[in-house]
Amino acid sequence: MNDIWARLPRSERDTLAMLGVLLWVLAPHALHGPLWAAAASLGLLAWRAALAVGQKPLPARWVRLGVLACFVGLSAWQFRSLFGREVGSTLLVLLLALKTLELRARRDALVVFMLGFFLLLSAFMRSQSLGLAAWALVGLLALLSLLVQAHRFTQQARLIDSVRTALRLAAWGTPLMAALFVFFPRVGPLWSLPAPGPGGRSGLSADMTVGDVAHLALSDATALRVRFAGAEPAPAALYFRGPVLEITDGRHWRAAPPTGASQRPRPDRPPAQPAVQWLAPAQAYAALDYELTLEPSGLAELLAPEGSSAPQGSELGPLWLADSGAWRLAQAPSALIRYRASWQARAHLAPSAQATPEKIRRAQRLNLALPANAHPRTRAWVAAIAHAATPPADARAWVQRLLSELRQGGYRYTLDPGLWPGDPADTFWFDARAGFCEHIASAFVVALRAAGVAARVVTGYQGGERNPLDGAWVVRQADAHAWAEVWLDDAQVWLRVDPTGAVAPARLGERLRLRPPPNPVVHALLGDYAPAWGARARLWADAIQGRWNDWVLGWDQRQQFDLLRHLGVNQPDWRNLSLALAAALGLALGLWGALAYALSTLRPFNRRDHWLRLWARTLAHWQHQGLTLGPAPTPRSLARAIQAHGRWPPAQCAAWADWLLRLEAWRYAPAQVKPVQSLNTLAVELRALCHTAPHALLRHWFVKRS
Amino acid sequence: MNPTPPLAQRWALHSRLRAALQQRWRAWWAARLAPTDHLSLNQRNVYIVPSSAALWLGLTLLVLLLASINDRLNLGYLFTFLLAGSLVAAMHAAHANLRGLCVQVLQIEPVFAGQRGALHVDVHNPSRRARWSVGLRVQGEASTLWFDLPAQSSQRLQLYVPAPTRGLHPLALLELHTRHPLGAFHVWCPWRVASPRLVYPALPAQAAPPYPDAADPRALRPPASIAHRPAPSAGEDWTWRDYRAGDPLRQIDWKKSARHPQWISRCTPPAPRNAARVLCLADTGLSEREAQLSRLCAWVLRAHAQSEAVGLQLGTQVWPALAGDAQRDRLLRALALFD
Repeated sequence: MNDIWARLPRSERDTLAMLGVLLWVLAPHALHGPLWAAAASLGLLAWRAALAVGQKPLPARWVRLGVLACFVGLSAWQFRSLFGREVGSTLLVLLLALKTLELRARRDALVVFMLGFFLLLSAFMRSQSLGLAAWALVGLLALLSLLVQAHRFTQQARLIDSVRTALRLAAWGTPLMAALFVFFPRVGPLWSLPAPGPGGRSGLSADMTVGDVAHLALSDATALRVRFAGAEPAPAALYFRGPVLEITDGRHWRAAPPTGASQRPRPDRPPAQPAVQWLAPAQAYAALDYELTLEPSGLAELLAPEGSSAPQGSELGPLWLADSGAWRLAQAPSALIRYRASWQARAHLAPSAQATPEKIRRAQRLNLALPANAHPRTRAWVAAIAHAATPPADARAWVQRLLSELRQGGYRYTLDPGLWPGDPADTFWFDARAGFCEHIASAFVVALRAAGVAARVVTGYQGGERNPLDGAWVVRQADAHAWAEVWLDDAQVWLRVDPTGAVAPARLGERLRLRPPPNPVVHALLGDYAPAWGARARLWADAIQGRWNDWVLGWDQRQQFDLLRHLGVNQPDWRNLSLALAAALGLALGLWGALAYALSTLRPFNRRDHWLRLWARTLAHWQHQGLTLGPAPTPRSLARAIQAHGRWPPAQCAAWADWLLRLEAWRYAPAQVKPVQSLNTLAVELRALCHTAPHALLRHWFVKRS
Repeated sequence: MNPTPPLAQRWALHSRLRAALQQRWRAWWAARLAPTDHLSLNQRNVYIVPSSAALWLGLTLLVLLLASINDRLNLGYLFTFLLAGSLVAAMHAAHANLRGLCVQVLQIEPVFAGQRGALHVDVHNPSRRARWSVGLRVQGEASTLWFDLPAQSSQRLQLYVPAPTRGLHPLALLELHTRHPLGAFHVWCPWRVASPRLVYPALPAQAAPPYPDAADPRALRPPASIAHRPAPSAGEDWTWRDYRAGDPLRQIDWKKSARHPQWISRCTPPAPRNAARVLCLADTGLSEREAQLSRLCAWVLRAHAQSEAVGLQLGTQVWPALAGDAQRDRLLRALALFD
């Protein structure tokens, strides 16, 4: 293998290196695109590599054009269009692979680099994770190295030197990058693009079929991160509100369509005034300020803790409190978003002044509806309770009655309830008597509705895990939860009831969650040490990811303005930002200049040949003494000149001659210097010979300068 | 039929105009440069401009920036700005790739007009940084002598510089240039070499005819083989040498052979034929001055190749006939400087 590599001419070796880099750049794209495109691009790269190794000519033009036509046709067939992000990305990958078959001039290579840079960036449209950033950084440096190598015109150009040059360029470019990144004004989209669908992203969804959360509970992916200012909340009180499900056919639950068509003509426009409001708790709880970063989930809900004030964030756009009580955006965000708000525990959701009695009644009716003929056993059971000697008097009594049933009826919390072909509510209450939050909450709501109490299912996340390393709360997909909300007629508010807590108190707040059994092979290999170690690693990864989100992905206009305020600008605006950008760029360039100067002139960095320095000092000394020296003095000739001059006593001349000859031997006959002397010894001796006083050192310096 | 000039003509006009302007610009610039045999490249004589690749890279950056803005990709910003920062760093690096180098003329070989003559140059890199892909070329020419120079090292280069006309002329304007590292910037340093170069007359396209009669009557005689040569007659000066296989019988001096252990051959002495060969312009039979000099040049070279003595008479100056390298150089120099 080494042999083949060494035998290839330089151009072929460079080509092989470029193919390797392209493989790296194309890999994540190929994984996301259609399989045939991945296979085709890999095949093209392999073909090109084979041509390079065999030093064969490139294929003719009509072959390339034919392949190109094939690719375009296949893409058009696959995507039913030639426009759009997915098809564009696929075509770009194929074109880049095809372009390698046409590397003749340097201009062709430049095209490959440009396409490569663009492909690196286009991967960020899918995800901006830390891993992808590392991939892109490696890709960028590799492409830069190849670009440097393409501008080495000598035959012996080694790739490693080009890599070093590219690394140095990137290192020098980093201050500029930082300045630009921090202060470059963040403006909104210049033109609107079709938003990618929520497909392919796991998370909560706007509807649920009972059993849908089962695989979410197994996912460790991060859903959101919260950082509270000051005090930390109790995890049991943290309910992140997502879609509220009000309409059911017995098995399938979905959110109510927006009501009042006249009032809200389009679902993506905020109403003038919200129809609901979060009431401040009767007891005065301190409001906690928090900052939340939300991973894209395909939902327009902001997933704020229940009872939050209006979220603030520069990238949010129009935002309103929906009838469901959740904060809503006009559009599901496609990237990480960040906002700030404050939160008070134990808030109640109530109709606001805007809600007409008629509207409230309609909402009640909606939350009382049960599909006809569904849940016969549950209905019968509820009817039996209602006709008992002491039936529950009101909504609160019904809730208490059902909760005590859940507590004492031998119900279990399980992640593995199995498939329920029959009626879900009946199966839960009477057959399986086990399930997880979705089963419990939906069965609970069905029973309440059967009893004539308006109730609904709320989905979202519950709890979270505080990372002791950075103090941020991480809420994972495994924290997805479903609970119930009950309408209290007397108080005219929605009351949150979490029936899962009655079944499995540990599910709430405590960090005791059901986990899938460990992989037996991994367990056998790592034993019991792995969990602790793994948990620690996960904490670190979370902390790093959190910082990444805060500092890089979440850096927006608001943060820029905050920074300006810290810097003493009272009313930050675009102009100040531009000025700050210019100043930062100037600073970065100044830093550069200073560093370049330091590296080139300052003593500790610019370590000129120590021997030459010693020799220069010697010469300066003797020139100062008035000795005229020939055009190219050597230590030996200097010794002769000192002797010949006759002004110095013979002992001094001999000492100098001895020292000079040793200086010469150190450089030109190191084997003869016995014992081995360090230059420092010679330097100390020189100082003794010159009787150098501090002022003399200064003089040396001036002599050298002049 | 067609009142407007054809496109090709207009293009030709355009390119001629451009070439003329470029020529003037170069001449003006060259006139500003102080000629020197030892050049240190520094801030004052190293120039830098963005190249067309910079335009393309800039376009790439713009597209990347637009994509980042439109999709609000903070990572995209980071990536784009890192590339931009590297590009700016590349500007500095490209300039630093030339700055600090020292070049020194070692030797300028004389050359025949119309050919390229070797210029020996020593390039020295005194700094602790390696220099990659620095090129030395004649300004305006595409072909470049590329070299790498490790830290604190020197290298001897041989550049072939064209010599258009005869005489003692300064070299064409040279240029040290580089595109390393990213090709986005073209950095160059013009160099006017102070030492002039001796350019001999152009060599004639065809082989020169034999020497003219006037110079040497025997030169026209076909080379007679020894077998057909008439036997030396008594009146001629003879020399004797040992018999060699193939000598005709009548050439053997039997009388002398009788007194010697081996046979002795008679032969004519080596002709002192070049003693008098002094060429002059009129010998060439040509009318045009440069053609005359060309032919003389070719004759001098032929004489040198055949180890014959040759002299030259140009105007009032005469160089007596001699053989050897020194004579050849002397005569060629005389031809080069004649006017």
